[in-house]
Amino acid sequence: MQQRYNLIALLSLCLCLGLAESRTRPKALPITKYVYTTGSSSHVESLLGTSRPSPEAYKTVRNAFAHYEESRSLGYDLELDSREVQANETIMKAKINEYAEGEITPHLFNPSQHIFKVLDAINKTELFQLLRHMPKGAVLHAHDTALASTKVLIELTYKADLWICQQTGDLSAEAMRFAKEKPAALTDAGQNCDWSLLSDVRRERGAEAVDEYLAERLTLYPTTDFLDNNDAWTKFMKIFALLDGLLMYAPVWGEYYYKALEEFLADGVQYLEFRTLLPTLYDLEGTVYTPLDTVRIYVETLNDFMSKSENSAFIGSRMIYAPLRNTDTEGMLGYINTLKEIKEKYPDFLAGFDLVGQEELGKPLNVFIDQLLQVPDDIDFYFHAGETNWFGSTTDENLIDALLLGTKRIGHGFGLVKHPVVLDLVKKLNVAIEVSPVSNQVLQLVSDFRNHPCAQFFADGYPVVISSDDPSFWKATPLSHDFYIAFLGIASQHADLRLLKKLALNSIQYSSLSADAKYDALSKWQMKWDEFLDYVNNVSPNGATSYSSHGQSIIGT
Amino acid sequence: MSSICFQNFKFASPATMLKLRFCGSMMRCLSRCAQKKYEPISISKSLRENSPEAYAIMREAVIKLERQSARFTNVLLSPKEQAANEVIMREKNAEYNKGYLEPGNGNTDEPPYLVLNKIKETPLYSLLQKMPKGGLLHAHDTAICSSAYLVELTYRKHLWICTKNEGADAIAFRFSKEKPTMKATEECSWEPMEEFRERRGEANVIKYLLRRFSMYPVSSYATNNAAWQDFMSIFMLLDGLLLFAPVWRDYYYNALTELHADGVQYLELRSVMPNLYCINGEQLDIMDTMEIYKSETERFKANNPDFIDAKLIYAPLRIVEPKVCEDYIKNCIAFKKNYSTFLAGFDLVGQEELGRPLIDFVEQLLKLPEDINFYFHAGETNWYGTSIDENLVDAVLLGTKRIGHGYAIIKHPLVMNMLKQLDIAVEVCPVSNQVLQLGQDYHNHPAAMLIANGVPIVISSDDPSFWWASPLTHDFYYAFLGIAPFHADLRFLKQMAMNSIRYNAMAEEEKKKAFEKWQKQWDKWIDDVAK
Repeated sequence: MQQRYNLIALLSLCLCLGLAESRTRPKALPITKYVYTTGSSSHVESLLGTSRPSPEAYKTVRNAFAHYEESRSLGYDLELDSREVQANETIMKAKINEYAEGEITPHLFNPSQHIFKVLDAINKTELFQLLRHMPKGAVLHAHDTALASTKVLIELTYKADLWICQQTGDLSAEAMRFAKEKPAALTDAGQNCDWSLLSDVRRERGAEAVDEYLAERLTLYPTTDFLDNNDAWTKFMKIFALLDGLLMYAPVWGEYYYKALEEFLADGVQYLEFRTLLPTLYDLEGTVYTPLDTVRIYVETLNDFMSKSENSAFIGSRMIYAPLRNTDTEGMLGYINTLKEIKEKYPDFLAGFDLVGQEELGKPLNVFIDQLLQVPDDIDFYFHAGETNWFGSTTDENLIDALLLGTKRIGHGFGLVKHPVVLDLVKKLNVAIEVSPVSNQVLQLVSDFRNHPCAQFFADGYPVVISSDDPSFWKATPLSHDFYIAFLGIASQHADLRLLKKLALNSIQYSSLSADAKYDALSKWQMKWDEFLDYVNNVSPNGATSYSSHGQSIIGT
Repeated sequence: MSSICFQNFKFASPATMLKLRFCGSMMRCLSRCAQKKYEPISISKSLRENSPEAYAIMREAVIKLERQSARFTNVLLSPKEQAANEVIMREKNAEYNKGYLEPGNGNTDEPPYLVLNKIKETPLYSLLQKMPKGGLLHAHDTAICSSAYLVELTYRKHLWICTKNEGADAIAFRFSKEKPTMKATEECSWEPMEEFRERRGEANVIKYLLRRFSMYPVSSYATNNAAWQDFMSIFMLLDGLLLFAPVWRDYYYNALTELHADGVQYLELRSVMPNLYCINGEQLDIMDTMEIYKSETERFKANNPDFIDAKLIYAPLRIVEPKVCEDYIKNCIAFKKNYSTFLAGFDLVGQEELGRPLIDFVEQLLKLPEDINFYFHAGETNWYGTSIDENLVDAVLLGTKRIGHGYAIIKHPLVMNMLKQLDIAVEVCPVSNQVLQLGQDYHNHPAAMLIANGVPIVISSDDPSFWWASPLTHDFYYAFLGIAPFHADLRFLKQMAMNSIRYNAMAEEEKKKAFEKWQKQWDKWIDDVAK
C-alpha cells in the first residue's frame, strides 16, 4: 500500500516537472466535432490514481507540491547565515504585522491604495524604516530629470537670474528659464505667458506660497484618479516641460545630478544606471552646447562625487542614451550617430541605448528595425517594452522586438505575462525585467498592487530588478518605496529576506558593469549589507519607531 | 548543459525552415548561456548580422509561436464562418480603437450598470447576445433571474414583508396565510406585502426593491469584504421569498427561460440545496428541492427542444466546522443515489476569505465516493500566499474537474501548468470579479494569461442578477473585448462556446448530442451574421 502512495507522489512530481507533458491529451487537436465529444475524460485520475488517496498520502503529495512550488520562487536558492536569519525574523515580524492587519481591513492595507494617499502612512511603518536602511544595490531604471526630491528642485529655483513665465494675474508657471535679461513672452499655441524674475515673484507673493505652488507643479500630486493612462501621461510630460528650463541650465544640470546621487546613496542605493535624452544645455554666456557636452558634465560631476571620502561606498553610475521614440527614420539615424560619438569618447560611461516616451502614442520598435540593426555590436540595448495592459496591441508587441533586437534588460515589461514565448526566452536568455511598481500605479496601469503582474515573476523565479522610474514626481524615496510595495504588496506573504537580498544582488548582477567591476561592486555592497544586519539585529522592538523621523531627515543631507 | 537549456524549447516540433533558422540562432546563444550562467545573454550580435528581411522572418516566427500557444488560434473556420468573422471583427475593432485612443471613456466613476446598459447598445453586444454560447457552467441558483422578475414575484398572494425603520429597510419576506411568527435575522415587524405597497406607494416600492435586490450602488464598497457583506445580505433577504416551494419552482423555470433567451443552451447550477417551505409553514426535505429542480428541467426541455439540459452541483456553505462537511458528504451521496445523472458534482461556496480553506476539509472530502466529481471554487482572491490563495493547490490535488474563478492563478505558475496538462478548465467570471472588488481594469484580468498560455477556460456569469447584467452576454463581451488579445476573433468565441460543452459534467454520449444541438444553433447564427 505504502509503495503505491510513493508511486503516486512520484508520478505527481513528474507531472509537475513537465516530464509527462501532454500525456493526457494529444497536442494541437484538429477541430472536429468528435474531438469535443470525446477528448476530455481522464483529467485527474492520472494525478491521483483512480481511487481517492488516504488523508496521509494526500498530505504527503500536497507538501511535496507546496515545497516544489516555493522552491521555484525568486530568492529561494539563497541560504541565509545566522545573522541574516536573525534579521529576517525582525523583518518578517514587521511584514506579517502589516499583512495580517490588511487581511482584516483590506481597504486600509497600504499596497491596495493609491501611493499618494498612503505615502506618509508608509513612511511611518516599521517595515519601511527597515527597508530604508537596507542596501538595495542599484537603480537600473530611472530617468535623469526625475531623480532628485522636490526639495532639491525648490532649492535650485533660488539661484539668481531665474525667470518664470506666468499667465497674468495668478500664481502659475508655464516655463522657467535662466537669463540676464527678460526673455520674450511665450505666445505659442497653448502657451500664453509673460516672464518675471522668480525672486520678484517670491517677494510679491511670499516665498512660502511660491514654493508650495512649485512643489505641487513639480509632482503628479494630488490626482490619484486620472481619467486614464493617457491623461496621466499628459500631466507627466507637462512636468518635464516645466523642468526643462530650470535643469538644462548648464550649472544646474551638474548640481542636480550631484544632489540626486547624494539622495540615492542615502537611500541605500550604491549604483545608478539612468536614462537620458541628452538635451542641449544653455548658459548665460550663450555658449553653444552639444549633447556630448551634456555627457561631459555628467562624467565630471560623477568624478567629483566619487572623489569625496563620504561617498566611498558608492559604486558608480552609468548612462543609457534614451532619446524620444516619437521620431522618424532620419531622427533615428541622428540618434545613432550621437550614440556612436558617445561610445567613442566616453566608452566607460555609456551603458547602452533605449527609446523613451509613452509607448502607446509613440512609434513601436518595429518601425525602426532597419536602423537599430545598424547599431554597432559593442553597444547594448536596454529597451522599454510592454508598458501597457492592452493585450495584443503594437505596444504590447514591442516586447517581441525588444527581445529579438537583443535587449539586455526590459524596461517595465508589464505586458510580459501575456506572452508565454517571450517569457520563456526572457528566462532562458537571462534578460532582466526592470519592474517599477509605483510608477505603474501612478501611470494607471494597475490600481491595486496585489494585482501587479510581477507576482508571477516572483513566483516563478524570473530575473527581476526593482526600480523607481521617476521617484521625484511622486515624492517617493529613490528606491525604498518601490521595495516596500514589491515586498509587501506584490510578493507572497511568505517571501522573506531571501527575496530582498536576491533583488539587491540582481541589481548588480544585471547592471551593465563588467565582470570585474561587478566583483568590486559586490564587495562594496557586502560591506553595507553587514552594517545593515548589525543595525537590524541591534534594534530593540520598542526602539523601532524611534528612528522614524530619521528617515525624513536623510533627504537633503 | 546546453541540452538542459534546450530541453524545454518548443521550437523543434513545427519543422518549418523559418523556425529552424530561428532555432539555429537560439542554439548559439543558449550554448553561451550554459557557459556563463550569470552573464545576461544578448542575442543581438547574432541577430545584428542579419538583414532586416531575416529579422522580419524571425519576428513573424515568434509571433506565430505566441499565437499558437493560445489554443483558440487552432480553431478552424469554414468559409461562412470567415465571412461572419469579418462582420464581428469590424465591430470589435471599432470599439477597441475607440477605447485605445481614449481609454477613459466608459471607465469612469459611473456605476457598472450604466456601463452595462451602454454596452447593450453597441452592435458588438447584439451580435454576442444572439450567439449560441453553449453552456453556463458557473452560476448560483438564486442569483440568475433579472431583478424585474423578482419584483414580479413580490406580487404573489400571501406574501409578508418584515421591515424596520418604519419600512425603510426590508429585512425578510415570508409567504403565509397568517402573520408569520418566525424571527428574522434582525428585529423587524411583519405586514402583508399589499399593505406595505399601499403604504409606501407602488412606484417607490418597486424602485426600492430593484435596488435592494442588487449590489448597487457598488461604489460604496471600500473592499472586497464590504462587497461580500452586501452580497450575502441579498441572499438572506431573498431566502423567504424564494424558498417558498411554488416560487422556487417558478424562479428556476424563469431562470432557464432567461438563459435560453440569452443564447445559453445548457446550465450547470450550483445550489446550497435549502429546505423549502409550504404555505402552512411545513418544511420540505432537501430531496424535494432536488425533485423540483429535476422535474422543472424536464418540463423546460419538453417545451424547448433545442435546450440541451441542466445539471446541478451541490455546493453548501464553506463557513462551517469540518465535521459538518460529513453531513454534506452524506447528502451528496443521497443525491447521487437518486439523481445520478442530474447531479454533476460537489463544491463549497461562500466568501473564501472568511470561510475555511479546503485543506481543513481534506479528511471529509476524500471520503466522497469516486463517482462524484469536485468542481471547486478556488483562488477567488488577490492575497498572495494566504490559505485562500493556496486553495488552488488543494483544488487541483483533490482532483477538481474545473476551478471556479481561479483569480489568483497568476501567482501559481505550477498550478497553471497542471491545469493545462490535466485539462482542467477555469470558470472565468469577469463582471463578478470586478463587482466583488478583485480588480478594476479588465485589461489586467488574469484570464488573459490563461488564454495566452492555452489553459482551458469557460466564460461564466456567477450571479448576474445582482449586478443587473444579462445572463451571460455581458461576460462574453468583456472577455472578448477587454481580456482576450486584440487579434482574438470568432475562433476565440467559438472555442469558448465549445469549451462550455467539452468541460461540462456530461457523459461522453450526452456530450455528442449536446454538441449537435449547439452546432445547429451555431450554424443558424453564422448564417444570420454572414448575411
